[in-house]
Amino acid sequence: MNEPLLSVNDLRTHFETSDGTVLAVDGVSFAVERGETVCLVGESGSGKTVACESITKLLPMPPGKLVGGRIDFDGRDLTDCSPGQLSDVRGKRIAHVFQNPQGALDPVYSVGAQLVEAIRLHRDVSKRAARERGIELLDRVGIPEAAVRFDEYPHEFSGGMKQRVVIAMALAAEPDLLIADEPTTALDVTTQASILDLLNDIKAERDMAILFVTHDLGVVAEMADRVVVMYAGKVMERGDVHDVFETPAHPYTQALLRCLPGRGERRETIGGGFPNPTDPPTGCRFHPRCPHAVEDCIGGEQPALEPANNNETHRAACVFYDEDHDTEVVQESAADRAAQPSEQSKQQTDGGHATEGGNR
Amino acid sequence: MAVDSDASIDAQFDAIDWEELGEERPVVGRRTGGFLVALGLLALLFLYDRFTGYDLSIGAWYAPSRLDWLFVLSLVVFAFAIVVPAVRNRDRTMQYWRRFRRNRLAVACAAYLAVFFVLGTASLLVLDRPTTNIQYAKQPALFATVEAGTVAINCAGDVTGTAVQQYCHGSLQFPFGTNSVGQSVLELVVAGMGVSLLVALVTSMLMVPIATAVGTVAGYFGGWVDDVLMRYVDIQQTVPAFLVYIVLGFVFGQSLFLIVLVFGLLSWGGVARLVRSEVTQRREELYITAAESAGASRLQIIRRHILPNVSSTVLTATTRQIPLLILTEAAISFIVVLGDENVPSWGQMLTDLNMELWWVWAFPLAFLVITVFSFSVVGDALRDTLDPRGNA
Amino acid sequence: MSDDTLLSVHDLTKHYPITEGLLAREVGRVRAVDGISFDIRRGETLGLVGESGCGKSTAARSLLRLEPPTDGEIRFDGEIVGNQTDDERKRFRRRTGIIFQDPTSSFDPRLSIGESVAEPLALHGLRDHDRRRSLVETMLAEVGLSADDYDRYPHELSGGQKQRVALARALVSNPELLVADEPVSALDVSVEAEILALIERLQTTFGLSILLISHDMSVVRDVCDRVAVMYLGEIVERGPTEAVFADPQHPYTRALLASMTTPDPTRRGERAELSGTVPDPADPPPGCRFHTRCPAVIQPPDYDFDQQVWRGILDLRIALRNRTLDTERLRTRLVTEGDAEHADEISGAELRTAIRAAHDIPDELHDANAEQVLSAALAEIVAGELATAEERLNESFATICCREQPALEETEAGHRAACHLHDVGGESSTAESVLSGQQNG
Repeated sequence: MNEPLLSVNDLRTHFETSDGTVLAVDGVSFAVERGETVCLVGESGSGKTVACESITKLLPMPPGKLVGGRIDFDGRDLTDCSPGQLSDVRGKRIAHVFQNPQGALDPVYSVGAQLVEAIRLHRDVSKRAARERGIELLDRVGIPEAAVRFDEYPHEFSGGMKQRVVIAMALAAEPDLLIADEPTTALDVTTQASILDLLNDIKAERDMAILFVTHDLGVVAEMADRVVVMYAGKVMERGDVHDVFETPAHPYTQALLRCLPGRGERRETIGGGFPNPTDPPTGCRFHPRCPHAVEDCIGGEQPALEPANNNETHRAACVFYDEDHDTEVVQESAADRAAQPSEQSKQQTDGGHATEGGNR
Repeated sequence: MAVDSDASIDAQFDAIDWEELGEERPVVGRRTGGFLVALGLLALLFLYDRFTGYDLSIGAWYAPSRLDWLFVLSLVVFAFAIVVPAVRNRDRTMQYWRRFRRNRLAVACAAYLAVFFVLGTASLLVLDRPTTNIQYAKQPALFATVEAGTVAINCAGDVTGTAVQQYCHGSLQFPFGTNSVGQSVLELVVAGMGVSLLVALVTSMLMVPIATAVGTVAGYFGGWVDDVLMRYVDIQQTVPAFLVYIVLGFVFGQSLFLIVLVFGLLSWGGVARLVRSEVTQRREELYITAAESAGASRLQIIRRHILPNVSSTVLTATTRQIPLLILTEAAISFIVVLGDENVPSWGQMLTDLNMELWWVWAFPLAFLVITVFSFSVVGDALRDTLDPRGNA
Repeated sequence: MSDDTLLSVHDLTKHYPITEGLLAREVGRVRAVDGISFDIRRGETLGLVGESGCGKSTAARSLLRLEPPTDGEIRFDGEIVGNQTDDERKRFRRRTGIIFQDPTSSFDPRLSIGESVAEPLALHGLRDHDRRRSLVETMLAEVGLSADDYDRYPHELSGGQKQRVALARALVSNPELLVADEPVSALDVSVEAEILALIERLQTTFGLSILLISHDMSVVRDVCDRVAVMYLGEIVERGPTEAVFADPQHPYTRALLASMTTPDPTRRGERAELSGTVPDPADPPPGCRFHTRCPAVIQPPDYDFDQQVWRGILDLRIALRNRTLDTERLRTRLVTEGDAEHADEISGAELRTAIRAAHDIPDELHDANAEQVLSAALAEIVAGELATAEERLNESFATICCREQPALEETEAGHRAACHLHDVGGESSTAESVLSGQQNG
């Protein structure tokens, strides 16, 4: 029983484009235990979405291609599965919720009809029973007057309500793992708050695991049990949510935390540009933008994930955590960050030309 | 502005005296100027031809008629509407070409259409019309044979066989053979190209501006303007142009001129509808709002942002309309009583359905099919190339 | 209005008629913006916040006259905007600029970004092509791109880069007012920080006044000098950013602040969420527009309810008012949920309990008088006499929040808010206690 529910090992997903091979996910490993929430955090282009779409092969292939790695889900290697077996897992055991609820609902069918279809796809029940179950689900995800709204069409629902319907559909098969890809990014702050609460409640209720993809560390702090920080196709840091926020180990995580809004002062920026995905930097992929970069960061491969603060579960892929370097240089705690906010924040943004790195 | 201008940029902007600059006056661009000059020249030539005793005749199969003038006018419009922008905007053209090139079949079809265009233009403006030559009537096409003496009285090619049964072989002089009055089928096919090209170009010249104007006005202004224009299009589309042609043909006499006029003026409904829906979408784009907030007038917005963005829709829709029109013209000429007997249309050639002299109808038919097919393929390929949504 | 004021908006109103039939008869109006007023001083940034559908974008478009407002007065630099001559309008356009949330739709795909940025220059009569190009190149450098980007096309740029170009285009005619409509909502946090920093820098370089529209309180907090909170077409609170964030005076503002996420997992679950959705602006609730969702509605003086119970009673009243409470539906629902076999078998008592449960009202209220009123009303509802029930509840549980529209008035905290909690005749302690109660709850 010590096997994690999902374990992704050295996953490599590449894209063939006219500009060259995009190393979208390049050797990523993480695990999700039963009933826990793992957040995959990173900017656009970090490969977080590609990583989780690779799990159930939702990616268009080609141009996408699973170049290597293992994905074990409940003791079964998904990379070996036939399309038939995979579609059985998808939906039944692993459900997806996407950023845009609009696209997940068919405008010509009523919400109820789609829900009934989702239920009957996975379970052999009568239409009547499916309907009852559907109303129950809508009620559970917080749709008022569920029995009435069951027969309404998607356009009669607001954005937040649509996302609730999508979550209800995802729950229809009682999955063991819910993959939620930026489910609240397109929503208002107030709606986002209630959707996050809903997901947390459901998770606790059903002992369901959630793999949550987001670029917003504020959301991570609300949701995650464990955090995986990605940058340019590599994992930079992973660990317990409290450890990562209390003592962010990787300079990238630290930088990401410093650009969060809402402290009523001028925010810092990371500076520099997102690397070219077809020709990423050698060594640590973050080194061209890292304030602590030294000679050792530049060559070779991305440093291995080493324990930070002698904590086996909290690891960072940074040379300063191996035996030959002084860890002190890059360490920074949440308290430090709050204490010296504006010193570095005066540095100006140096232009977006190189930043965000051009064509995707 | 009362801002401390430490940055040089501010100084640079302050140097602009906006009040002094005033309005953006409409400037006649080089392209528009060239177009007007070409139109003027054409008008002069036309007036000279009309009102002096000296007929212009440049070897065309009939002295410049109203059709020829219309054709030359279409050529000028085509040159300034498509060729000049394509050449001026070489980068974009190359980009389109690279995308277009991926479709091999479309490239082949486009190459055929280029030949079609050149030969058609030549036949209309330069070449003589095919002459009858009873002496060499019913000559077989190359690699075909007929009985010499009985079918082909004289034979331009080799004659083989016994004294009783002699065969006349096709010759290079008449590669496609000749018909029963001795006209070279090759020359007839080329002349037919001229007719089809004329139909394609002139109807487009009539359709494109009307469809664009109606679609843009309806889509951009909306409201009752939209209602009225679209209701009119509905009505127009329920009246078959074919019927209108038959009625008017009995009144004014059937002619190719009437065909292109009626079909050009009555077939733009579908294109206008497409343009309208494209414009209604574009109108909501934020760059339109941005231009408005920068102070652009409606006319400036239409000219700068709406028209360029619907031009590909117009081009594609028209290209896909052309094969239909070519077929319709052929059909009308095929029904002899309706057609213009002075015009060497492919449709007319198909009436000579003689199994023994198969080359007389088979070659025109083949070219008709190839032409229609090429326009359709190129039309589809153009849509794939130009439609920005296709490569988002 | 001080001399310092660049833009002054007074009672701006934008209604969209809902029409029906061939003759376009007006059958209703969507009150997108319903009488808002604010000033923007020179060099100042004003934030306009609210949920989607509250009318903030419509307000921005109408004040720039990209859509004609239904009513209200807009003064720009002292001059009334609206009945201007063409020249004056053009001048107003040059002196204002706008950027949008969606960077993709903001650019004509057929124009290079240089051509897009140069467009305002050409429109305002700068005909010298070379000078235009050099100005645009300077501007591109100013927003952190390079002069070589002049000939690139929008689809070659990332979202953040496009937003930089949008800024260049908005600022190239050297305007005094920039309207930024959700400029960073479509961007990643790290890029968002860069764009906001850029906007701040450009503000100093160009001496800009900015109207920043956002649904994100944290963005507003970082960049705005003053903030106006909008709800359903009205401004409910207005004041200096620090004051509003430190001591919000309107329950809605409090709810918005409470729904912000904090990057601190130890404070998880401290967020309070706002129930319900924004009502239909075509049919806004009477009285205070927020009362249908407000967690701090004023209670009638004779009763002392738990605020949650009070909220439940109000919800019941609102359901009666909107005719969304339907006993037939309730019966069907009880059947589908398996609580009963047939709709006819459900007793009145069961139905009453179901109604209470649906609105989170306990089986018995603490206050005997209130309980009496409520059970009488419920009995009427079950008997189908909805109107009588509604009237009974309205009479006994009257509250000013459902009746009168609060005015935007000065509060004890020193800035303005439109909430009845502040006008209970000097009983500021009431407001204080209720509002703080909300925060803790």
